[in-house]
Parts: sequence; C-alpha cells; structure tokens
Amino acid sequence: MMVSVPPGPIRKFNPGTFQTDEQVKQQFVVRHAELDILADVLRGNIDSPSCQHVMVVGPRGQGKTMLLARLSCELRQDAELSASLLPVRFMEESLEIFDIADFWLETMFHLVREVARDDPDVAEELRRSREDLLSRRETTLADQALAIILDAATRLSRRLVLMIENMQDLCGETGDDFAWQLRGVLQTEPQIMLVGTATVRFPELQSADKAFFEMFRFLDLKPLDTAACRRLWCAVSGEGAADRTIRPLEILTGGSPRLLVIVAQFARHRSLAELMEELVTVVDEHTEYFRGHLDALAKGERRVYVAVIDLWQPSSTGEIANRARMDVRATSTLLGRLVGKGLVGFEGAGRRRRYVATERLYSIYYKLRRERDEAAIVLNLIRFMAAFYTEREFAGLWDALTGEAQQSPLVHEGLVRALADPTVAAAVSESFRSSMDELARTVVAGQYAEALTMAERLLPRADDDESTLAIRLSQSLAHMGMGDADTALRLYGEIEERFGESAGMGARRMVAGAMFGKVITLAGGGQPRDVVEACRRLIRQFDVDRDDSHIASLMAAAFAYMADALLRLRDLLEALYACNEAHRLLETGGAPQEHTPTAPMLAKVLASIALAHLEQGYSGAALRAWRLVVERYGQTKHGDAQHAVAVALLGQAFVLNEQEALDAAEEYCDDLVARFGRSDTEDLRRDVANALVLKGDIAVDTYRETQGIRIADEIERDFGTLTDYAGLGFAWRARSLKVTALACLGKQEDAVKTLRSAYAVFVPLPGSIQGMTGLVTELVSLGVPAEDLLGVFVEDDERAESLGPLTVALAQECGLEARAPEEVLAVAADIRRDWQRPPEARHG
Amino acid sequence: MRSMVGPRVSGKDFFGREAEMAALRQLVQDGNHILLTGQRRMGKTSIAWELGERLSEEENWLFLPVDVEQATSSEDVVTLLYDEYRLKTMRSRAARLAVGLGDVARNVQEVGLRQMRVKFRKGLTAGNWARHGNDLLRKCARQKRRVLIVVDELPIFLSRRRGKDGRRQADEFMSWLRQGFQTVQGQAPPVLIVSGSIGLKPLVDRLGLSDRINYLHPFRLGPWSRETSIACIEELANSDGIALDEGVAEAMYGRLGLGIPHHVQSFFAYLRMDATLRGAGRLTVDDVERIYHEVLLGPDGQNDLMHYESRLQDHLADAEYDIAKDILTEAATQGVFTAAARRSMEATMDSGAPARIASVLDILTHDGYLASTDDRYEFASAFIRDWWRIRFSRGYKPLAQRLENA
Repeated sequence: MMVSVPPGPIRKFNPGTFQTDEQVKQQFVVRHAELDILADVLRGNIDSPSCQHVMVVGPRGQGKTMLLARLSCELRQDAELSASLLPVRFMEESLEIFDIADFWLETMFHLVREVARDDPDVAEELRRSREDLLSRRETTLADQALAIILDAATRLSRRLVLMIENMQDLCGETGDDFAWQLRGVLQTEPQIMLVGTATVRFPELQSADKAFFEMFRFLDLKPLDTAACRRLWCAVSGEGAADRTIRPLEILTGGSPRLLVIVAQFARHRSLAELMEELVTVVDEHTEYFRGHLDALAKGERRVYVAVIDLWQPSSTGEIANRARMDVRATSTLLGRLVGKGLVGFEGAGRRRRYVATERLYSIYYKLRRERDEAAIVLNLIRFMAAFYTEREFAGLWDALTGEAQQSPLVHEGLVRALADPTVAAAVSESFRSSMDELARTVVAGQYAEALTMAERLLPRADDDESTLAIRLSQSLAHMGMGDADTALRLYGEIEERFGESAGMGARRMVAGAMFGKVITLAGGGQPRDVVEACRRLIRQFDVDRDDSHIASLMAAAFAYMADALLRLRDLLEALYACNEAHRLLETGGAPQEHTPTAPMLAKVLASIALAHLEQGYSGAALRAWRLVVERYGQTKHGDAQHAVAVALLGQAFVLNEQEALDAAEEYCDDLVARFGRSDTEDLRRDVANALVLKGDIAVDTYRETQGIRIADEIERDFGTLTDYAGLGFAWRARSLKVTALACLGKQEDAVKTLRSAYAVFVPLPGSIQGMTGLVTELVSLGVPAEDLLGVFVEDDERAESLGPLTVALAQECGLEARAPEEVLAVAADIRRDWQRPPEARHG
Repeated sequence: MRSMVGPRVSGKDFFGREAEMAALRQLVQDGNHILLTGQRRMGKTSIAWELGERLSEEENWLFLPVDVEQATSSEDVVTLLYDEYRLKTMRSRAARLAVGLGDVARNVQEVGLRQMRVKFRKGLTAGNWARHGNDLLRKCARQKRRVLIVVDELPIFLSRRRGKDGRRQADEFMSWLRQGFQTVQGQAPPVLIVSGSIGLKPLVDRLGLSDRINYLHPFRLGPWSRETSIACIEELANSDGIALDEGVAEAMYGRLGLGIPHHVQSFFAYLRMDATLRGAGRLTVDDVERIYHEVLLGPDGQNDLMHYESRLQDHLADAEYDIAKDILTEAATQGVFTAAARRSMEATMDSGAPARIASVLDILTHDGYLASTDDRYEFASAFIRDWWRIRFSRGYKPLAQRLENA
C-alpha cells in the first residue's frame, strides 16, 4: 500500500534536513531544468574515466540547498543513477574542515550516514575506521582516509557524488594546499565527483593560477522568472496568481525563492493590495533573519554593507564611502570582501562599477526601520506597485456593496414580532399578560439590563410553556443586545432543544424567532458555514409552516442571511438559489417585494453575487443577476435597496462598456442618472457621479470629446467635493477625463495644463495612482511629449515621490539617466513596456 | 560524445585530433621524449592520456600517467610514479592470476596499493627520493614491454616552488628528470611526455634552467580547423539530441574565429544549458548571437578569459606588459596592429622601444594571441579579440591619434 507523506510547509531554510525524499520532491516546484542539467552531467560520469564536476553558483536564498537536496533524491530513486552513484551530502556549514585530512574524515562521516540503512556492514566498518583515524596524528592521515573511502566505494560498487555547500567558505577556511590536493583527487579518481555550491565565483575558481580554475562546469542559478515565481507562489500559498499579480513580488524579492516563500507563507488569503500594505509585518516577523546576517559581519564590513543598503540604488565606491563616512580605499577593500561573501554584487567595470546588495528586501528592511521619511520612500514604492499591478476595474463596486449586509434593519424585526404576537399570552392572567407586554417593550426599547431583571422576576410566575418560552426568548434577546453572544447562543440553543417540538403556532413562532436570533448572532461574528447551517436548520424545521406569514417572513430572512453567508463562501449558485427562495416566499406572502424589510438585504446580496460572478469571469451570469436586482427592487423607496439598484445599473454599464457595447452601457448610465439624479443621499450621489464619469469616458472613446469635456465640467460642478467609494475625489476624476478629451482633440498644451490642475488635486491612493499611470500611458500614446509630462510631475516633489516609478519611466523616455533602486527601475521598465503595447493589450 | 568542460576527454569523447595523434604516436614510438606545448585548453592532457591508453591497448605498452599538480615535493612526485607503476604492474599480474574474478580482484589490489603508497611515502625523504626515482626508472627499463610516462602539470608543480629554496628544489628535480631519462639503460628505455596548462619553457627560462629541458622534443598542439570545429559542434548536438538550425555551427565558429577545443565545448555547453532552461529542443543562429553577447562576453564569460590577461601580467615585466596591452588593444579596436601603428608606437617611446616591441610581438605570436601576415598582426581568436575590446577599449586612443597629439 502506498503511504502518502504530507508535504508539510515549504522550508525557507535547510531544505532536505530531516525530510523524506518524498517531502523534498513534493516541495521542489521550480528549477526543474537545472535539476535535469545536473542529473545529465552525473549520468555522463557513470562510465567515464574522467568526471565532469559541477559548481552551482547563486546568491543566498536562490535555492542551491534545495537543488542539492532534490538531486540527492534523484540519485537515490532514479534506477540508472542509483545503480552507479551514491550521494554523499555534507552539511550546509562544514565547520570542522581545516585541511584535506579533515575533509576526507568528514566525507567518511557523511558516507556512513548515507549507507547505514542499506549497507550496515560497510557503514560500521567505515565508522570504526574513522574513529581509529581520528585518534591518529600522522602526516599520511589524508591518504589513509581516502584509501578507505575508495575502498568503500568499490565495495558498494558505486561512484561517490560529494555534495558540498558553500565551497567559498571551505576554501577560505582551509589552506592553499587543500584546494590543490582536492583537485588532484578529482582529476585522477573517477570514483569521486563533486557537485559544489558557492554564493559567488570565488578566487579559486577564477584565477588561472588557482586550483579550481577551469575545473568545474558552472550552473548559475538565475533569479526565478515570473512563471517560476508563480509556480512557487501557488505551491506555498495554495492560491493561484496571475502573472500581473506575481510581478511586484518577483521585483521585491528579486526572484529569490527563499524570500518569495517568506512572503507567500504570509500571503495566504490576502489580496495583493492587502499583502503590499502588510509587507511591513512580513519584514517585522523576519527581523531575526535580516538582523542575523548583519550581526555576522565584522564591524567594518557591516558599516559598508549598511551604507550600500541605505543608498539602495546601485552606487559607486565613492558614494558608499561617503555614506559610510570612511576612506575610499578601505571602503573598496571591504566592498571586495562583501562581494566575496556574495552579499554585494556589482555592475559595470572600472570607475563605472556600481554596487548593490544581492539580496533584495534588505534595503526595504533597513529603511522601514529608519526615521519616518526613509520609511515613506519604501512605502510609496510599495503603494505604487500595489496600485500598478492590481486589477481594480470593479473594486469600486465592491467597496460600494461590502460591509453592510450584517447591519440590516432585519436584526430585531422577526423577534419583536414574535414577542408581540397576541397568541403568546392568551391563557394567562391579565396582570401577567401586562407584565409580559412590558417586558417585550423594554427589550424592543433596548433597555436590556432592565429587561433581564424583569425576566428574572417573571420567570417563576410562568406556569405554561408559552410564557416560559416568551420570557426565555426575551432573556436571549437582551443578552444578544448587550453583546453577550455566548450566553445568547446558549439560551437560543436551550429554547430550540426544550421547545422545538411544540405544536402550538404561538410557540412555534417563538422557537422560529429564537432560531433566527441564533442566525443573526452567528452572522455577527461567526463562521459563514455556521450561519448556513443555522439557516438550514430553521428552514428545514419550519418548512411545514411556510403558509404562516410570520414564519414565512422569518424563513425569507433566513434565506437572505444564508445567501449572504454562501456568497462569502463563494458558493454562488447556492447563494443565488437562496435569494430566489427568499424572493418566492415573500412573493407568496403577498407583500410588494420592494417594500419588505428583507428587500434591502436581498438586493445587496444579489448585486454582490453578480459581482462575484464577474470576478470569476462569468459576465453573462453577472448581467443576469443585476437585471434581477433592477426587476425585483427597481421601484423600492428604501435607500439601501435603491443603492443596490444603482450599483446593479452601474455594474451592467461597466460590463457592457468592457464588451464594447457602448450604446447599451451609456443607456444604463442614463437610466441611473434619471432614477437617482435628484437624490441627495451620499451613496446615490456617488453612484450618479460614477455613472457620469463612465458616460464621459464613453463619449471620449466614441469621438465626442466635446461632450466628454461638458460631462467632466458637470461632474466637477455637481460632485467636485465628493469622493468615490475608493476615496478618489470626483474633482480629480473629472479633470482626468478632461485631460484625455483635450489630448484626443489634439489640444496638447491644454491637456498638459489640465493635467497640472488634476495633479494639484491628486491624492496618492491606489485608484488615483493607477489612474495617473493609465492617464500618462494614454497621453504618451497620443503623442504628448514625455518632457512636458515630466515637467508636470517634477514641480511637486512631495506628490512625485508617490509616483516614483512613473517619473523614472518618463525621465528614461526623455533620454535622461535615471538612477534609482533596482526595484523602481524594474517597475519603470514594466510601465514603459505598457507604453509600447497596443491599447487593448495594456494593463487595466 | 559528451559535452565536457574542464576535465580531459577520452574514448568516445576524444575528437578531432587524429592527425596530431598519428604524428605524436610516431615520435613516441621512435623513442623521443616530448615537451607537449600549446595554448591553454588546446587538449594537451587529453591527447597525452589518449595516446597512452591506445598504446597500452593496441601495443601492450605500460602507460604510467601522473598528474603532479597536487604534489608538494619531489618525494610526492616519485611516490605518485611508484604508485602508478605498482598499480599497473600488479593489476596486470592480478588479472592473469584471477581470471574470472574480474573487478573484485582488481579492486582488492588497488586498495592494497593505496595503503602501500602510504607506507612508501613515509619512507621517502629529501635525501633519498632521487635514488628511489632512479630505481623506478631502472625497473621500467627492465620491463619486457615499452613504457610511456606522462608527467602532467609539471609547470604548476615547479611554479609552486617559491623563493630561493624553491629554485633549488626545481633545479634538483629537473636535473634528476633529465639525467634519469637520458642515462637509464635497457632494452627500450621509458619515454617521457611532459605537459602542462602553463608554459614550461617560459618558466624554466625565468628560473635560469633552460638547458634542463633541451632533451625534450617540442610538439605543439594547435587549434582545430574550421571543419573540425563544426563537426564537433554537430556531433555534440547529435549526441545531446538537440537540433541545430542551418548555419548554427558555422555561426558559432564565426564568432569564435579559432577552434580552441575548450572554447568550442564551452560555447556549446552554454547554448545547451540555455536551451534546457528554456525548454527548447532546437538551437538557432539568434541563440548563438544572444549567448555569445550575453553570456560569453557577459560578466561570467569574461571571467573565463581573465587568464589571458593575468598570464601576460605574470610573465612580462611591467613595461613590457604595458606594450603588450597597447598592441592588443590597438589590434582589438582597430582590427589590426599595422606596421604604421608599430612605427607610431616606437615614435612615442624611448630609443630601446623597437627591440622591446619586437620581443613582445614575438611572445604574443608564440603564445597564440596574435597571428601575423606581412607585418600585420591580428587576433588569432575573434572571441578573445572581442573580449579584449570590451575590457580595454574604454578611453583607448588609437596609436596614430596619439602620434598626432604628440
């Protein structure tokens, strides 16, 4: 029987250590081509009289250890390789090796480990031989150890593949002879081959007079590309991601698998925008990781390294020396050491050589810890990236719909009606009935403490089930009103258990009320699944009573809550079914749909379902759901429901605009303006302003630029002080619209002038950053000179900082040399790539 | 045929040297001791080992190859020779005795020999190594079959002897080697091939020991021809199962401009790795151009060629190095170092310049940097020329311009 091994979380550090081969294989999701190259080289060594040795080179965190761990599995599990080769994998830090004798003794140690299970006799003999050799102090120790190792290889009938990490450290800690002695064996003993790793091509590999010169085939681990980043991201976070979403993370991590794993593990269930906002937390949680490596540096090295990461952009030795307040010569020497350790890389040669930290995120880590201004630079970049790489077309609609479903005025509706039902106290005395009425009024009035006192007093006088039930329900309501959800839930549960089988309609209504109370309480803070389950219980239990209008309205409300919870669970079909059931129940109840208390909630849930459909790419389903909203609730006078109707109209207009059904889209905008243009509620005014912006866009797109300008002026006049759901001022949106219209008319000077006025009211928010980037892209493609556009931005440094990559892109377009951190340059390159694309292929 | 970068090639991987092999074989069969010369990475080690293995298999020679680069003393070298001798002679005896036991018998012998080596080395001292060395040569001469000894990386062994004492040790060793091979008596005295990845002649010249190698017959290994280089590329692609677009092999050779086997192998290895990483099964001329410019002439590729600069720095005095750098940069940036450029150079220097320039040109030609025709010097390798241009062209003023300014 196959035993499946849980893959476990992907390791950030020490992959392969104490992991099974299966776990390593499951976690190895990138660098397959590199694995194939290594396996091919080793396969070629199997019968060869001279072996090809390999050096895997890459900075920290590029996946060298993982690659070797995976190669070990391959050597153990591949039929051809395992028959002829045996991996001997050294620990990542071989601390006890100072000369060639130590090296062979260490080889023996790891060889023992490797063969202990399958060849215990050989392992035991090796172990004893090693112990014997350890006690000796002879000059021929190395030869003796090597002889024993080769003997073991012969007995095992396999060649040994030594896997040694951080060869640069090993060579640094051993004498010059070590490398020559090792080279001698590697050149003459085909039974031994070496797969090493190094953070850089260290001197022993580079210089013609050094031992390892031209000894190895190099395998350079390059940063992961976008596709590989996405694969790793999906494996770690368990969530899919589009290339566009993964790109900022690729840039920030520099395509480093380790940093990507760190960020991805944090990213579960967060949107890109949320993740970018919380990047500070990621960095905080890994302070030890960043700090640890800084602490490991000698004082002078640390000083220079800190200067490098503080400067952030690739910098010359002179600049680094200035920042470190050190002598240039000393700085140059220390930079050389940092390069040797793989912590700093460089580009260019001679005087044009510029240094930068090899591991991204270090500058970000450092700057986030500096004073506010320094952190602001980083945060601006992160905010820009979140905006630039996020699809936000429909985000405004979500903003318009979320956060209100649970605050429905339904909350007490059913319960109050249940309490006020005349059948409750039919059989009791007048005075008791009067006290019960008083209790009900107290609860409805929100005087929960008094209600609880009254209930305590009344409870001993209740001598029938219905009275007891009514008092218990009042207590539950009071606890719920006081925010004591646990007690409320307990009491609701007790009511359901004790009175659930009651036959009297009065009691059944109250039990239904209690079960609905449980639904509301859970919706206020519980899991959506619990809400769905509570709704289902209520609906199942009282389905037989659906002819009773009171119970039918409670069931309809339960369906509405269930729909909302199912929407949160993204079970859209079931959510839609629940909405329709609620609608049917209310319809049979005879009340006009749009006036029932459940209507606002149902309208919003239905509008949200449409949006969720759209998110999943089902625009047809979205349009159908929005049409239902307008059909069912189009005549409502309830403000919230009207807002849902406006969102439904706006949503249809957006989708149709996307589908290039511009006439129809414009009709929906007109419909929205006609219905709610005179409204003075804020939400509806926003909806109207949004519709006008879209209508203006359509006008410009259909060569009615003058009409677009008129609409822009109208928006500015009527809604100029208002902000949209994403916080963007309609003044900014109106002026942006006007800029495009003027540029399309060929009035470039006016366009730039208006851009300046739009920039004056620009507030750096994700939507406006994205809007500004899109606007500049349009202007560039309409032929507005980059110099003119750059002129607008450089006038206001403070705002320009929030648009760093955009200004860099413009500067580069003007042919200026823009020095900036690698991350900024990478985003600028993406922006400029967008400029080269045809409009339909551009982002957003 | 495998794509190999670094280690020697043999058997099926040995390619394109049949003419040289025949000539070298003849010289060795005639009893000549050989000094195998040639630029780095021409395949000197490979041809020496391959010859030894062929002579061993086809004519029953005893082949004793030793790589002495890790040796730290003459005692180590003699130990290595003894070790190889015992391994080969005892192995053949074991093979005769233990027919049918195959690998087991051989492996047992090898392990025993290694332990014997440990004991033998312990007994060697600075005072007795030469005696033991002569003893070994006599044993070789008494063999009924002919013996070929290949001492590889001898220049590295010698160059690691530093200081005054180092020169003395080098002298002792080279004198012993010459005397041993010249005086050993026997039916068919052993033949010696000496080779190394750095030039032996400049080294012994510098140490003042030039006469210690005058008994060696120089055999120079040149680059592959265009046809051989292209055939090698096609064979590598065929073995790797990767398709080549028409003109790919020619484009590769065009870029290299000279068939240095290591450069051909290395270029192909980079292309192959790039194709694997991209998941491509075919190489195009565009790939050749991209990899040439981005990888071979990129930072890592540039590092691979750094020894072409450091070697000059190591072997030339400062003033000569400056002359060499100017000549090479002129040839790299202007395409050729002309007689006119030479005259311009002489005109801007002191009176001893013509002789020094002539000497440097000799060295650059001898070491394979430049090839000359009619007093015009061009880079032998287009690849090295391009690399040199990238490295030194910034701020370089052509010699004619310098003369005008002067």
